[in-house]
Amino acid sequence: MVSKSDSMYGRLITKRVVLLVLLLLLLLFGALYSITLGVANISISQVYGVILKTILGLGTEEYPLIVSGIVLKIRLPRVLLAIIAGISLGANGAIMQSILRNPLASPYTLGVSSGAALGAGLTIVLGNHLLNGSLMAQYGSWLTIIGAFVMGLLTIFLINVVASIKGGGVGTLILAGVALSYLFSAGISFLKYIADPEELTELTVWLMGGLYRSEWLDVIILTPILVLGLIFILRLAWDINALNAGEEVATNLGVDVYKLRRRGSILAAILTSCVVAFTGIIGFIGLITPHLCRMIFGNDNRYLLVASGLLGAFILLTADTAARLIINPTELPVGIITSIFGAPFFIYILLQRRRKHWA
Amino acid sequence: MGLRMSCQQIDFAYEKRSIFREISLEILPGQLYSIVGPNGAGKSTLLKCLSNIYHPKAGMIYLDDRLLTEIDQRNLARILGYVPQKEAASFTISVYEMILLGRRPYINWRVKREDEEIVESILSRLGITHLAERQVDTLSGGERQKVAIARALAQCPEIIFLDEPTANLDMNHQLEVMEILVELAQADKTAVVVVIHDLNLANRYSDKIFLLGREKVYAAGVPEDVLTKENIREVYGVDVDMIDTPHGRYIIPMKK
Repeated sequence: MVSKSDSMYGRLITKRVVLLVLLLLLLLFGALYSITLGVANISISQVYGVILKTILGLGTEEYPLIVSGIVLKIRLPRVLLAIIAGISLGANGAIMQSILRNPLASPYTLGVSSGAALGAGLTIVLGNHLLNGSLMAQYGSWLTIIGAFVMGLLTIFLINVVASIKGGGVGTLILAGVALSYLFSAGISFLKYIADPEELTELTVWLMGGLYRSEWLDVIILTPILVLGLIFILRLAWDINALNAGEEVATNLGVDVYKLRRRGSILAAILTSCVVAFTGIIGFIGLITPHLCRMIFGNDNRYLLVASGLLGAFILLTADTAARLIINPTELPVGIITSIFGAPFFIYILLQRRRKHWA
Repeated sequence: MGLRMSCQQIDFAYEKRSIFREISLEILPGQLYSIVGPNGAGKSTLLKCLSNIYHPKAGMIYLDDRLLTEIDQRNLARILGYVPQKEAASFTISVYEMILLGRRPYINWRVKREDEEIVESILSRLGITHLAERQVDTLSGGERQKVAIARALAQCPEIIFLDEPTANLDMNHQLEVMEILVELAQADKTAVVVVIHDLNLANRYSDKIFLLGREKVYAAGVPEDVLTKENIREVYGVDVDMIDTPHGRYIIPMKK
C-alpha cells in the first residue's frame, strides 16, 4: 500500500500545503517588519519591546508613552486592519470569480462597492442635515461606516431579487450589477455636485480608500465577522469546485447552482461591505490576487480561497506600508497605490501567462 | 445491484414552447441505449431530465420504486452520471482534479485514499494515466472526452448519460469511445444512455434505440425494428437505403 504522501494527489496536496505555510510566514514577517517602519523614529528593538511587554507581559523595560502609543495605538491596529481587509478582498475576489465563472470578476463586480460608496456619500454629505454638528463630529465616522455597510448589502439583495425573477443566470447577475453600479455612480456624482467643499474632500478621500483611520475597535469588530464568514465560504469550496466543470455537470453532481450563487454572493457581499465600510474602496487586490494564486496553487477552492486571502493580505500590507512612507510625512490613499501598480501588473500577467489559467 | 429507471408520461417545455409530451421509457442495467432523432426533437433535453439536471414539467421518473424527486441530491449524484456535449472548465484544472470532481458526492472536505484509488483505477482503465498531471485545456478533443467520461465514472454511477459523446471525434476515437461504453454496460452492468446523431454508430452499438420525433418517442426497441426506412422517412424526412455488410447493416441517406 502506498502511503498518502507518495501518491500523485498526495504530492500535489503536500506542495500546496508547503506553499501555504510559506505564504503565511511571509505575511507574518511582513507584518512584523511593517510595524517597525514609519515617520516616527522608533528603533526596531523598541517596537518589539513594546509589543512583547504589552501583549505577552515579557521584559521589564519601561518605554516612553509616545513610543508605546505609536506602536500600540497607531501602527499595530493599522497593520492588522490591512491584513483583515486584504484577506477579505483576496478571498472574496476568488469566490466571485469562481461562482460567476468569470476571470474579470472581483468583490466589486456586482455593485457592492458602488452601493457602499453611495451609502458613505449619503452620510458624509447629508449627515450634517440629519444630525446636529456636535453629534455628527462625534459619531459621523460611524454613521459613514453604517451607511456604506447597509448600502453594500442592499445592493446584493437587490441583485439577487432581480436574478430570482429572471432565473438567476450569470449574465443576469453581472448585468444587474453593472446597471446598479451606473445608477449609484450617478447618485455619487449628484452628491459631489451638491456637497460643500469640506464634504467633497471627505467623500473624495473616502472613495480613494485608505487605512489611515484604523483603530483597535475596527479590528475587534471585523475579526469575528471575517472568521465566521470565511468558515461559511470554505464550506462551499467543493461545490464551487464542481461548478468549474460547468453548471450542468455541477447540477448532476448534486450542487444547487442557483442556491450556491445566492449564498456565495451574499456571503462575499457581507464581508466586502464590512471591509469597504471601514477602509473605503481599495481596488485591484480582489481582482489580481486570485489570478496569481490560481497560477501558483491551482483551482481547488479549498486552497485557492485561503491562499488568495493570505496573498491579498500581504499585498495590501505592502501597499499600505508604502502609502505611509512614500510622501513622508503625509501619506497617500492606499487605493491609489493598488490601482497604479495593480493595473499594469494585471496586463503583465495577461501577457506573461504561458498557459491559459482561465478559459 | 442494478437499478431500473422508468419514466412515465413526462413533459418538458421551455417557457411555453413544448419540447416533448408524455414520454415513457424504461432503462435497465447492463444495456446501452441510444436516443436518436432530428435536431430540435428534444434529445438533449430528455437526457438532462433523466440525469436530474432539468425537471420535467409533468410526469414521474422512478428509480426502482422511488420517485427521483424524493431522493436527496447527494445520493442521486452517486447513481446518475452525466457527460456533457462540450466540456468547458472556466478555470484550468489538471486532468486528475477534473476527474476527482466526480467524487464530490462522496467527499465532505478531505479526499480519502479510497477516492484517490478510484480515480487512479479509472485513469488506468481508460488508458489516460499519462495525462493525469496535464491541464485539461491542453488536451485534444478525444482526450477531453475521455476525461469527461472518467469524471462521470468517478461518481460510480448505476446509470451514465452522455450527450453526443462521439461528436467532433475522428473515426478512431468514435469507435474507442463507443467500445468503452459497451464495455461499461457489459462488464460493469452500468446502464448507458447516449444521445447520438450517427445512426450507423447507434445501429451498431445499441441494445435499444429511442427514436424521438413529433414531440414523442416515435419508435423504441432493438435497432433493426426502429431504424427502418419508413421510420427514418417519417421522422427525418429523408429517404435512406439500407445495405447489409459483414459488419452489420449500414444506413445511407439518399435524398430529401
